[in-house]
Amino acid sequence: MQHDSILITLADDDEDDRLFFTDAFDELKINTIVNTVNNGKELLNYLNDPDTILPNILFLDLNMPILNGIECLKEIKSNDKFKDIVIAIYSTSSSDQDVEDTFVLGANIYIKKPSNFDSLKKILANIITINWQYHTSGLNKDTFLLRV
Amino acid sequence: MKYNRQKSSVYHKIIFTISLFILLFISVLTVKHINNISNSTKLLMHTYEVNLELEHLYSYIKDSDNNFRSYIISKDNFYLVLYQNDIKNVNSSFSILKELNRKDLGQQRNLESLYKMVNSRYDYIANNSNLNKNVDLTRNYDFKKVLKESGKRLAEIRIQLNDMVHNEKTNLKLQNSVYDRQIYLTPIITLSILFITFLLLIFTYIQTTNDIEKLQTTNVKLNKSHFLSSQAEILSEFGTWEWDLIDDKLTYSNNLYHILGVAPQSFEATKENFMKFVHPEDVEIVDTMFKKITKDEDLPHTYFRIIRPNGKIRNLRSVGKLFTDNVGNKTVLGVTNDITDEHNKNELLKSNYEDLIAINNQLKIFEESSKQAEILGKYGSWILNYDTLHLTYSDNRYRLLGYEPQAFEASIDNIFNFIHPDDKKAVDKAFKKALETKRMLSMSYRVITKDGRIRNFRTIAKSYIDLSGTHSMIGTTRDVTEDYNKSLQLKERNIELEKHVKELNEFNQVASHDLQEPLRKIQTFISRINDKEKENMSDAGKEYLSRIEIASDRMRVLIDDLLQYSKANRSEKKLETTDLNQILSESLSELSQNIEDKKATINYTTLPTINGIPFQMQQLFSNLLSNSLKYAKADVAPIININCVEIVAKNESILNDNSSKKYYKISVSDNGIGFEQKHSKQIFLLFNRLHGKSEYQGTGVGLAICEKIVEKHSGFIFATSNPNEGATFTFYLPVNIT
Repeated sequence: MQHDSILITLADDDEDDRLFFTDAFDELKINTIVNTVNNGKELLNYLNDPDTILPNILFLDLNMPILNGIECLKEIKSNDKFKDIVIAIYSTSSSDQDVEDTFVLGANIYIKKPSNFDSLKKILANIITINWQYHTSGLNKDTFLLRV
Repeated sequence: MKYNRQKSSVYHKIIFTISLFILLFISVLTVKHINNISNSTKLLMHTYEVNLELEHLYSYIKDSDNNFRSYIISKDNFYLVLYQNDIKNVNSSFSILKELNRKDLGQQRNLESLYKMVNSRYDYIANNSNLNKNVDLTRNYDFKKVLKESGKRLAEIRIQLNDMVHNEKTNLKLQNSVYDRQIYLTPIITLSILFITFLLLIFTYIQTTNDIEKLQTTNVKLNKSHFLSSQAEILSEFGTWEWDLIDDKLTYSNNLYHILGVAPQSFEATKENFMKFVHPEDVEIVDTMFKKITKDEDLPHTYFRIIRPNGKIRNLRSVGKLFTDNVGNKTVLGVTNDITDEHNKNELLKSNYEDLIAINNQLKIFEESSKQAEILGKYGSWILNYDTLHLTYSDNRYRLLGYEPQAFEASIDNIFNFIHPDDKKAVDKAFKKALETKRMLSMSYRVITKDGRIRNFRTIAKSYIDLSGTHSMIGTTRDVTEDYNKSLQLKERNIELEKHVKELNEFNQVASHDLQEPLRKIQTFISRINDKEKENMSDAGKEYLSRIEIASDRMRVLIDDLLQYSKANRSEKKLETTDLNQILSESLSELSQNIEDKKATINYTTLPTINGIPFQMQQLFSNLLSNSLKYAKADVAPIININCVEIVAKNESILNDNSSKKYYKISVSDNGIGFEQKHSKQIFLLFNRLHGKSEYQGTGVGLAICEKIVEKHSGFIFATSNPNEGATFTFYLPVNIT
């Protein structure tokens, strides 16, 4: 484990999206370690595993079987152990309801999955380079949804 | 009073006539008495004259005797002349006596016998006188015998004379007794008659004094009543007139002149002068009136108008009656009344009455229509008197319970019998509260009708104080069973609808997420191929890939627009104060790149602040602006003008609304390619496009969303345009959106 690498975990049930996600980080050439899980259940198992080094940023898909993103978010936020993890919602939907709900539940940013690989790369690069402490202090509903 | 006066004057006349007759009678009586007295005096004189003449006669006879004797003795002829003279005197005395006793047959007879005696004596003397001339008488026997005879004859004459005197005395005595009687009665009769006359005169005097007093009182009364009548004339605006039919002379009272609007007695009261005042239309009426007065000596109520010198028209009424006074003068006495005010009042009353009749008719119509309305609307009304708790039902209120109208007497107790047992308690409570608070809010309950059906009723009532001050509660009860059933249906429908909405939301979810996801992946893969594999592809492959990319982009736009449209359609109406100036500036910054690219100029005025949904308003402006930018002429830089004015609905014919509702009229006009006016409605339809996809991008959703948003804000949107002349989109938003 390299401690100077940014640890990133993606919870997404969609194989294609996981592929785009990892490809994008590969191409970004930023010092990151990307780990993916297939659903919410798996995510929580992973996070709760004592051997797991908690990620810096967690990308969370909302529409997942077994345990969806919202439920995962609630779970994570209810546990003080995970309070330092930056949570980025990563969803196809950008419905007001979802944005609202996740904001209220304490997610740090909301990313609408782009339909262009270049856009994806730009977004991810952007996310990694945000000074999270700074971003979170000035967070509001408008800055919550990341616009590209 | 008039009658009394007439009576008393007749009375006076009778007394006067009687007095006159009595005086006449007294005069006649007195004249007769005086005549009688003078007759008696004449008779007395006559008796004295006769007596005197008889004495004269006797003395003449005696004288003649003496003289004859002296002749005989002296034979002196002188005595014979005297004797002859005496005989003449005797004869004249006889003729006097004869004349005096012309009327007294008894005395005449006595006188004749005396005359015969005297004559026979003188004849005797004359026969014997010649014998004695030359004889010694003293020795002559014959002579002595003649003398003796002569003396005898003289004594007889004396007796006869005394008889006559006695006769006269008897006559006189008789006459005197008659005279005395008359003398005695005359003063008594005269006095008594005078006394009666005196009494009559006193009576008449008293009566006259009384009458005068009465007359004076009457006169005072008359003066007073004259004064009052003139006051009354002024007060009640009437004037009087007199028409002396015999002299054909008119007299007007002062107030009649006032009524005519001129100073009293300012013109001579004649028919002609009066006619000058008469209203031209009424001249005939007044003409007939005058004719009637002279012809019939009477005037029934006549109405006509006059025009005063100041031009005011007054309504007058005249009435007259013939008055014949004691003397028989015929006068038509009349009253002319100014009835303008009365007339106006009457007119007012008439019009009020007509109004009342009209109102009454309306009320009747209203009553009938309300009866019909009760039947049609399935409601009945009732009135509850607070004081007597007397309840009155309208006909239909009975029908609602399944009864014929007025089939039973409505009372608080028996209405409770109809109420559904489960609702009795609630109704009782509400009713008691209503009596206490004197108001009843809407109350719903069930009743069981005569035929056992359960019906839902709703009652509202209100306190009412009628004109007579009676407190009552007027209520309306409606059979709302159908409504109730309908509302039940509606509730079911609502539940159904909510289910549909939920399904729609789920569909939206699917559309927004599940449909987008594969598309997104397709697009991402396309971008991956474009990035990594493009150079390995044939030209045809590149071409195909490019077409796939365009198609998938279009699909994305379609899905996005569709989502937006459904969002505009379904979003809840949370109105908040929205400053349209701020909204516009946000839209402009959103479109800034586009505006810059097209080198567009956008002019706008100050916009109002409305009650709206901010993000929808922004979408509205953005859609309209991007629409204008999109359909700009290829070679002309777009100029977009945004204007806003406040208008009133009735002044905008396009709104088809006659109310005074205020709207903001906001227009967005451009100098673009425009469209044909006939398409102005079509362009707002979903997925409707006037142009080919390749010419102008778009899904045909933008304007449909605009229309939806404006409708959500209770507004209207219209488009006007001509090809190549630009288009104007105008939307109206109520000033007060609720």
